[in-house]
Amino acid sequence: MSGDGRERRLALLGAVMVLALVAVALCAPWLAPFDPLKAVADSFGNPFAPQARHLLGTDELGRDVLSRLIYGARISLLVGVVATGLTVVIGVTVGVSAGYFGGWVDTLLMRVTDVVLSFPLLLLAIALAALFEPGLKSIFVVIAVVSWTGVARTVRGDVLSVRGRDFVQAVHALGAHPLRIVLRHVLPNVWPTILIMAVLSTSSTVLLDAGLSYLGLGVPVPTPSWGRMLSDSQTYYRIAPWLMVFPGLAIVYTVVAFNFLGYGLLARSERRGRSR
Amino acid sequence: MSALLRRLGWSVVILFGVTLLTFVIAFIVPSDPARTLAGPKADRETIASIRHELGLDQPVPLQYVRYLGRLARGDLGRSYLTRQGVLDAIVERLPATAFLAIVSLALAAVAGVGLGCASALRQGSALDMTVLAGSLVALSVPTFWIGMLLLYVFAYRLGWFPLGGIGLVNVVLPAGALALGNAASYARLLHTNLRSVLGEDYIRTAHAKGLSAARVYGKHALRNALIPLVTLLGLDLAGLMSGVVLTETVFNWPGLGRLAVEAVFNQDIPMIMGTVLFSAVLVVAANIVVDFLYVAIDPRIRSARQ
Repeated sequence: MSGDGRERRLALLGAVMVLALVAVALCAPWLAPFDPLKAVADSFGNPFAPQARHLLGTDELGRDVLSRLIYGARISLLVGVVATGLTVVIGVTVGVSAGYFGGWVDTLLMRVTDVVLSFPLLLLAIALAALFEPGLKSIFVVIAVVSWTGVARTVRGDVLSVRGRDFVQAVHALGAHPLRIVLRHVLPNVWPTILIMAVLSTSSTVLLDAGLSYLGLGVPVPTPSWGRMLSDSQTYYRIAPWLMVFPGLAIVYTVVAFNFLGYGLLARSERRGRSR
Repeated sequence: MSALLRRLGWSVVILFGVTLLTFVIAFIVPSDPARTLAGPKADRETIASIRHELGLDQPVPLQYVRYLGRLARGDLGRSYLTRQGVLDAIVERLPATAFLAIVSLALAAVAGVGLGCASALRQGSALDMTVLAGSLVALSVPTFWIGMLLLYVFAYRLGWFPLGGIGLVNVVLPAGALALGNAASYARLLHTNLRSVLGEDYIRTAHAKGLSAARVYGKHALRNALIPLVTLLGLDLAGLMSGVVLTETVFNWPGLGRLAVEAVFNQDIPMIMGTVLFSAVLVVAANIVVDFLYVAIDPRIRSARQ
């Protein structure tokens, strides 16, 4: 039971961290001390170190780092939520179809999953990003296209086990339409898994987005994004190391928050599954 | 053995899927592949010649067959920037990446197995909690950010390692940055495996026989707990290739990842698709090797499959 308490604490801590981040992103205009896009200090080419007026310093263009970080949370969460939403929709569609229909549909869909899994995630993502117009929409699509496989595999497994249960066999015997069986009887039993997978995918989405932004394939400038701030900081790392410290911490905080929440929920549901 | 052959057959199917997906991305997704391949600065003549060269006026299925034919001859196309053969460029860059990846995997294995064992044997201790929480945090840190921090602290501030360059000393920092995530996942997995193995009857029997603790843990427990780690290797290679893209960019390491990123910046589509295809094929090949390894090291599977 002590293990269960540990997992609940982990999930709770993650939830609080996520909520705090969401609050910061929503309240960005009131929280940010300066305009994130404008030069507010005379620090062109010579970033200011953290000080009373600029708590996290300024960048090489005289912009306030704290304000840019706060607004960066919006982009990070937006990409996290929308790209993960798309990822989950694709993954659940593939996973439910494969698990419910079985047979050749299952074989085909799972081989397609294997094919996509054979590609290094980031390499496939940058190849796709190179072909699409740069912008938010492309990022959503690119991330979803490369990362639905994990959700699909897990959901398929769950659907397989639900499908074999008596009540599903019963509604099937009553002649219910497959779509109705899936929506009314199978999906509600898979929801917990989907929710956990969505939370865990969000953390990998945020990491992937940070990597893409770092490589210059994220949201176009001047929109503040943490990954881009990190790649920009490299020119000035000798004289202004704080420029690379804070955006990195922001990314780690976000990913840790979703991972704590996700793994906490996952461990709890696995424990419950065992004791059932 | 037949199960192994069936898996081998599926690998071939997946290999075809990999080429099909690459083909679709390179030739079907762009509205005018010839223009995309030629780059934004190409004139009409160049585009027309590329169209002819690639047979883009022919039916798509035929184009795919011809694409497969070119691949079979090792022809991955030419860079539109340097005109160098894509496969030549890849072969040229491969050793640097292989070097980095192998050192990184070795570091990850040593650190992950060490920490995983230590935390599993001291369940509930401070070390156990630190390793579990630490591994979760380590999995959340962007590889490239760790690389930047290592570079700043150990190369720039302390001067222990050279900035850039390739060699035995130079590889330590990038390999370390790249190893962090894998070390964390190995530690977590080994912890779980070892806990379950330690509860098995044969471990109690080994203890009861009066074997030394070192022998029980080393010979009986660890061996069985390590086996599932081997299956991870194939997928790890895919993860490693992703990590390599970022790590090589941070450390300016002249490998495949850097090649792919440079190709993206130059909109050098044949080079991008070539590196993507090459690394996917590498992953499929690694999975085949893992299947054989798995059977070779675990006698239970061998007998179960016969």
